[in-house]
Amino acid sequence: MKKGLSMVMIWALVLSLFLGLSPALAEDVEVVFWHSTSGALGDELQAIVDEYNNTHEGVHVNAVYQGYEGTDKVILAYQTQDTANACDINIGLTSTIPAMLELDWTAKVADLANTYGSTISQEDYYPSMARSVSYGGQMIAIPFLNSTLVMYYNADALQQAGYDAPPATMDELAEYVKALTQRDASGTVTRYGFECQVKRYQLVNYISSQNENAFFGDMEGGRAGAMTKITAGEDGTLKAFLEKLDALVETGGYQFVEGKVAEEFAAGTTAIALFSSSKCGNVNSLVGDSFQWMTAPIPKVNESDTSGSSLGGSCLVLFHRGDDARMKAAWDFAQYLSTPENQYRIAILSGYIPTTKGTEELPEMIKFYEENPEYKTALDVIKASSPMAQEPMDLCYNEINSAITDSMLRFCNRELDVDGAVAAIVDSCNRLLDEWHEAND
Amino acid sequence: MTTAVPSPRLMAPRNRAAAWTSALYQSVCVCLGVLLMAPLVYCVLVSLMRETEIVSSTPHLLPAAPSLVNYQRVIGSTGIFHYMYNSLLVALICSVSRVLTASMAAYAFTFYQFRFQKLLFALVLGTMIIPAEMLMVQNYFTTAEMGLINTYAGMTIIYLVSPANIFLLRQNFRSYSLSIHEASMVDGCGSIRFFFSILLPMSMPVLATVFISSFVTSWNTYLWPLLVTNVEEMRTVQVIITMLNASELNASYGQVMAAATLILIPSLLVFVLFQRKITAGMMAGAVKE
Repeated sequence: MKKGLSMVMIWALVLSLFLGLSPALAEDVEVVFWHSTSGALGDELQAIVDEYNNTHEGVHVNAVYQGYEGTDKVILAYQTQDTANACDINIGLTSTIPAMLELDWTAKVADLANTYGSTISQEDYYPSMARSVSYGGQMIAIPFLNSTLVMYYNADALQQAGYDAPPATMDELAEYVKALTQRDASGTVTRYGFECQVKRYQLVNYISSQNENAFFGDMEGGRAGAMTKITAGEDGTLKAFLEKLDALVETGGYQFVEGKVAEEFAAGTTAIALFSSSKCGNVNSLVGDSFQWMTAPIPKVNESDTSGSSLGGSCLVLFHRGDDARMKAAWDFAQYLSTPENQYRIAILSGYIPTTKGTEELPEMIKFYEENPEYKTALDVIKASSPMAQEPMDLCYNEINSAITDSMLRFCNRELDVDGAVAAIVDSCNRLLDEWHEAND
Repeated sequence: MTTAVPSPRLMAPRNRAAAWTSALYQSVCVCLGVLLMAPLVYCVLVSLMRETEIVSSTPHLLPAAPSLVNYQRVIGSTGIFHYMYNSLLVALICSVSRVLTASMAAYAFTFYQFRFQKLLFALVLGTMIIPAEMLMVQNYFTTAEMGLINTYAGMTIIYLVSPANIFLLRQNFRSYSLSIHEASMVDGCGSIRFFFSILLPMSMPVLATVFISSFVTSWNTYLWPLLVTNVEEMRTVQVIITMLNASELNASYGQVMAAATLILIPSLLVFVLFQRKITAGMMAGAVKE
């Protein structure tokens, strides 16, 4: 009896291992939506999904958190042709669009609009937004959760140092840093004037901000075709930036190695810092009432610079998994996320820039921006910047980021001079691009 | 009969040297222990701090006013216990399976002679030099083909056998005399009885080591469970820690540390419970009473 019961329990356990859990089967068309947002933003996104499900009969959107591995999981599912366990929509970085185009599952937005019609047109997006998700002149994905590099500054600290406005150029920034840096009796820095570790994201912003023809690499930074070489070394933009940065390093008040930059700024260990506008909500909650803070466009390299910082962030990439009804439902939901009402909800929570022009015309958005001008800087920057100012599609993003980070650290540690740093960045990135083409072309 | 007691004066230099060696040895051990424990202790301390204290420009070692608010938020908002249950199930299945499969394989490699024995053992060892990342795509393909996506079986299948554990146990079993096996066979003890009633009880310390290391490795696994699960209900606790840490708006170090402290508990419990087995096994037979 005892033995029989044990056997039943063992078999029940073994069976349960194979059953697992899977989404409930229903007559609804199920749209699988993979995302990377968590915390309060994740909760808000889930609320938007729930509202869509409640108001759209016959469709059920299943939002699944995938961390930053969503894009890799899509590629893995594609390599194994596992359509059953893939997704219909994935939030991926815009720089991964060329990789997504390699998958024949990827459904281009332009084609979807032709096939299923659309409630939103390309003209509804800001030009920078539309270009950020375009490749070869064609809109591939839907912009979503986009931000840009902005300058955060401690307004109280600036005021105490005698400044009533933030620095507009890097020359001015160097002067501010000297005045804002504080040291204790032993000479140890207790508050840095400026913090920004220059990695790929920061560097490409400073290249594209100089003029609308300044790209990090050829083929318009990889957006007109596959990037084959770095051009920032040829047109002088890289050298111009490094020369200005050199003056900042000289001040001794420039913190060029970042830990958690938003937290350090909120803790008051830096007076000015550059980081993504999407951190506005985070800074707001961290600073609280400790001090007055504000955002501004990044300081220009040269006073005559004509563009601004570039647009970065993510996009919604759609996949056709062989089911037209599912594809149509996914397309409808992706457009729903772009509605001004939903963009407003995401923007006020985070600092992400609304993707559609209609959002800033909403009365509640106007009111919010009036009360919280620090959230509006990024939108103003993007509207003022040339649409050509975009993050490059540089094919081997992670490797190029490592190469730039390494060279910039050596430059800031005085192991490389300006020309040496230009050569190191250009040579290492070109070598990586060559290797990529050798392996993939 | 009297026992000759060495003169204290004669023994003193040797004792003093031994005492110094022992003190030095223990000091190094204590220092290493403190060094290893420091991050864990700080993790617990930070979990008891309020957010303003954590991000303040002056670092704090001790919480000014210890608070459980981070634990309340983690437990209230993430459903962490459900994910801990998933991780616990995965870790237990993997570690029990590894102990069983590794001990059986090691038993065969040690006590039996069969054709291609050395070649098979070399093949087992050979799998250790293949990076797990290289097999990820093929493993995923196989798991998906078997219909095991979103199942506990899919989450554990690639961790059921470990060549490193087979190697470890085989080396341990080789320290036993083959005559024990032969004598048991002569006495009418079958292979299965020898394995379960003699070999495994004799090898408790090494089995406990295999169990603990397997448990901790499986408990900490992040990527594979994330790859083979697409529903929130099946996520493991490591994914939840990542979600807390990656939150763009309100990434709270206090909550991350509170969650990290909570998920340390099962690993610590396993270690504490099985550490006794290790000690007991090592002491068994040391003294004949």
